[in-house]
Amino acid sequence: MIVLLIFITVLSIKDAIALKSKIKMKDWVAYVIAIILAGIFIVFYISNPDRDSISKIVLSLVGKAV
Amino acid sequence: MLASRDKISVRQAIIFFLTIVHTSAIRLLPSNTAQVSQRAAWLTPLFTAVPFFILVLVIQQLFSRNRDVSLSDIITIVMGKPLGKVLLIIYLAWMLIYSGLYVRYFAEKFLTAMLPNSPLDFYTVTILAAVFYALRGGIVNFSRTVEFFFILTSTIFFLLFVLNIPNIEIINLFPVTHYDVWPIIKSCSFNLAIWTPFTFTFFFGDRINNKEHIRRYGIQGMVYLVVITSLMMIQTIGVYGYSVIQRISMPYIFTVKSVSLLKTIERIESIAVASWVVVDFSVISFYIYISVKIIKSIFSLSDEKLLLGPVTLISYVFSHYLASNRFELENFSKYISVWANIILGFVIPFIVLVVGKIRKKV
Repeated sequence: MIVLLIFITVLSIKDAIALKSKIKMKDWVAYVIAIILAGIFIVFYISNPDRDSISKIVLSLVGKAV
Repeated sequence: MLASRDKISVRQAIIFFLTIVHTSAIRLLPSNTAQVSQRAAWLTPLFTAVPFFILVLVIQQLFSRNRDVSLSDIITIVMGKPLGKVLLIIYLAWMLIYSGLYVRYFAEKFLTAMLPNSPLDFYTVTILAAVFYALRGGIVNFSRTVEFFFILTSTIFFLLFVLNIPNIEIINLFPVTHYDVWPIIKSCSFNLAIWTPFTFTFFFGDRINNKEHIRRYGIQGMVYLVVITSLMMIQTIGVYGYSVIQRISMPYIFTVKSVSLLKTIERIESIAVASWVVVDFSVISFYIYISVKIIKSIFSLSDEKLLLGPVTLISYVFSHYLASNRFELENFSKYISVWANIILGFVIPFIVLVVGKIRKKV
């Protein structure tokens, strides 16, 4: 995951520099929110990778859990 | 109307859709339809063509007045801003889950079929890095690549079908009687769910030119789908029979393994697996791109490129968090994603069209 994180960060910085003049403040805010959200998901996953999966939760809700 | 250079044509969009249907059709269709309609399962695509044709007409109607917008914009225009945004958030959540689902399936395919002892992360990280890098080039370049992938995968599929013809036994496909009609209709749900990404394609409708031809290319696509999915069923059920096919998780690869060329060249399933890589690459890109486009619509942003990074990372987390094993993944596809796809890809566009007609917005 670290490899993916580094790869995406480097290319995103490159894109951000290239798009600097084109994009508005609103886009930056959305970008920061999306990054924070992705970070929350990553921390949530790393904190306990063995917790019940989305499938298990949803399938148990519809009564199809194995 | 003059075609814009930063847009793709309806034909390219339909080809994108047809390419991504391959992966879910190969994975889901033979075993699930064989369970319900048994030896008559190969007729399911023919019956599914009816609701799919209605879907094509619904999408054409939705874009009859507003041609330069995306499906997100139409949902917002028709349903109003608050309800429209709620619907778009539901679509976004589903697209993110779906991208994670395909990333996970991509990895599981390799773990099951070829390299069982390798780490899951190796596949998920590799495919997501490739998708992220490719999508940065924009949808126009990507669609051209997908056109090539489409020709490649279709050729491989037809070639493998022809090579498998000697193994097909007619007794596995016939007799089909009028008692099979109801089971076939019931099994249409799996097929329709697999074909509903047709609707999702129009989430990047603002990047698609000449939408007045949706019906024409949609029908051509439908004919292709009927042919290709019918051949897939004939190939799988025809070779091993429905009782075997309904019990195995990847029937298509199992069938392809039986191909023998002049009794000397065998194990040519690696060709099929190689074609899956490009198809999976396309399908993951498709859902990640749609997620980014929906976020762009929800927040009325000017550029979507920056959002590719965070969405790719979320897709990675979902690919791991979605299921703890292959069994859960298959159950999720069978019991949840089939119905979610039908609701989001077929029912909601129909409701949007009815509301739009009443409110005179489409």
